[in-house]
Amino acid sequence: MATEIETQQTTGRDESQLRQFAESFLENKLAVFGLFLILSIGVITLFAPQIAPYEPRTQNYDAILEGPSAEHLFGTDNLGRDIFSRVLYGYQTVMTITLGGVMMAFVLGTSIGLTAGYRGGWTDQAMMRAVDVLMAFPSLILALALISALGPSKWGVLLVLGVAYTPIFARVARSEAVSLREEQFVKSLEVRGASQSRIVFRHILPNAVGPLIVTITLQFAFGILTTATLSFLGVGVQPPDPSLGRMLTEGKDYLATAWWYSIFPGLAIMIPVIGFNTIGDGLRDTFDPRQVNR
Amino acid sequence: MTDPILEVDGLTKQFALNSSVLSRLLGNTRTLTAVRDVSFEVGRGETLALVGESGAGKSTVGNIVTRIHQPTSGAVRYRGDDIHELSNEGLREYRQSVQMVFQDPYSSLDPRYRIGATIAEPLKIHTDLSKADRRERVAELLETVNLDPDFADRYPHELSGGQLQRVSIATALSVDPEFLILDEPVSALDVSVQARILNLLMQLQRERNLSYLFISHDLGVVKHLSDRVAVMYLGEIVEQGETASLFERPAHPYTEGLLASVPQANPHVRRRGQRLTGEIPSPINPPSGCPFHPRCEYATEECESDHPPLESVFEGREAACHHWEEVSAFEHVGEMSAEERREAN
Repeated sequence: MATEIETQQTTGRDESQLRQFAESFLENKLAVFGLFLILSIGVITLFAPQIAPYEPRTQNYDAILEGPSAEHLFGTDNLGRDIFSRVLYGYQTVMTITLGGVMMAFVLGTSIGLTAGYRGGWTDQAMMRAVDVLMAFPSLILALALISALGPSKWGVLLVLGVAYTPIFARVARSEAVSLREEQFVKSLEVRGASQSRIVFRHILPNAVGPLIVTITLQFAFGILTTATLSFLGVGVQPPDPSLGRMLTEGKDYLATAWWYSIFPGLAIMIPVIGFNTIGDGLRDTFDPRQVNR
Repeated sequence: MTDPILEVDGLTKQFALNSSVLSRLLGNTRTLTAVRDVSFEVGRGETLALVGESGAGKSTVGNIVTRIHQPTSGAVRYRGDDIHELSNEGLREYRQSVQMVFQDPYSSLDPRYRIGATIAEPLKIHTDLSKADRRERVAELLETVNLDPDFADRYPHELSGGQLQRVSIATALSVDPEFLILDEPVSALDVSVQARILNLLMQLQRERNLSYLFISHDLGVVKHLSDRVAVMYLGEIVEQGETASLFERPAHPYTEGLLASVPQANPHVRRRGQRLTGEIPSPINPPSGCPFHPRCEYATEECESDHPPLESVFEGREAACHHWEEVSAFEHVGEMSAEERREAN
């Protein structure tokens, strides 16, 4: 009887821990706003074909460079294409690339960082010096070099993000692994004969997940910017696929006469970046309340 | 003693200080000798206590026996085989047969694993039991350590220190080990909880014929549970013998000092001999001669220059002291006389 009561009490406490986490995150109004932005953009991206009023590649020479109206919400471009529809499809492209790139960097960087941090010694030195070299390389130059080798495409940009963001994940993961390695539960697993991969991926990784999630959200924001930048420079997504960055660069020629051409794609880039940044900050404060300075 | 299950032979462990490449090139590496020429044996079903202040090297010995550290020289033999020269299969068996319980129950379990998963993990590593069999075994183990099987679904942060230490013991027992290394298993717990954990350990030893290497700084705890005691000071064993006899008649002034510092429940029991004063010296720069001489009231000139070897001093006792005869001459425990009692009050 006594144990039954105890069980109920503790289960209650367990649930409330999760709720506490949620409450603490929801208290951060800015982060909740960011979450709202990202969720809306997520829905828009998923349902782009249903929402978009026009086919994004269809040109209409009767409606060239028309301003925003009920018919064309964001106006039309120099080929008469509906900018609103192109922004929606542009989201699909940029989100796919960023998601893929950040996930690639997460898998690569986390594996490198956790292994280096857990093993220490020369393995750590060798791996982290390689990561440092990559990090010291300006990521835009790296991107241009990679893409000029591979030829400009969606997959090239994805690969660039994956490679360029690997060092950041590696560093975060390593620092977590270095401190977790000294925990007694890791020592006790070693003494019990647990293999290195079991310790690293089943025990150290789950305990390091907080900072890594924060890094993922923040890198997502950078990923969107980098994808747009590469398209702006003309080495990213190739026409006729709609791309937010290329719409900016095309629109700048008409800035004096058709402001809507680049303003709306520009805003479209800004909103998810702000969203991911505020979510990232909010998560960081929730995972590590010691660093909050309000 | 019955045939030993664990033999530690001439174990020495040095740690290099400021081991940067530059200082290594210049040849000015300093070393810290954490363990110096330590030898002992543990018999089947026996408990050997390794006692000393912090910094005495007890835990380093434990870490070498569990292969966390490599010894600088000397050997550890388990069932006759050198544990640092085991084949892969031999090592796997060793990892199963020798388990460890750590000092801090709060950090020795993965906070993200439910208790049941933690206890089942050695089973995953060492056996091919099915998931259902493992769950059954976890329930059995929880009962063995007097916990409700429902605890399997909880997380470590929901348990008290004593409960967590029971879980650690259950985890250690999961793969039917023969030898347990207990590194200060009760020193992080309340006194009332300590007693219950110690009783559990003694009961398990009787039931399963386990051998224990019990590392502790608390002689009071050691007295209840160990068959023999090895006292360590600055990385060396300074005295070794049967528990009862050692408590009654210590032959090394350091043991005497440790005994004098154990709190007594009965105020009328009188202890003679020196109390420990001062700090344990730095192992980077140990004193000349007998390492204990700066803190010893028996010390003479001989002690400052001559390092006394650990040798048999009388039946069943080894000690490393030039003045062991003087030290062991006292009767250390006894009732106070009526007059002394009045004085003390």
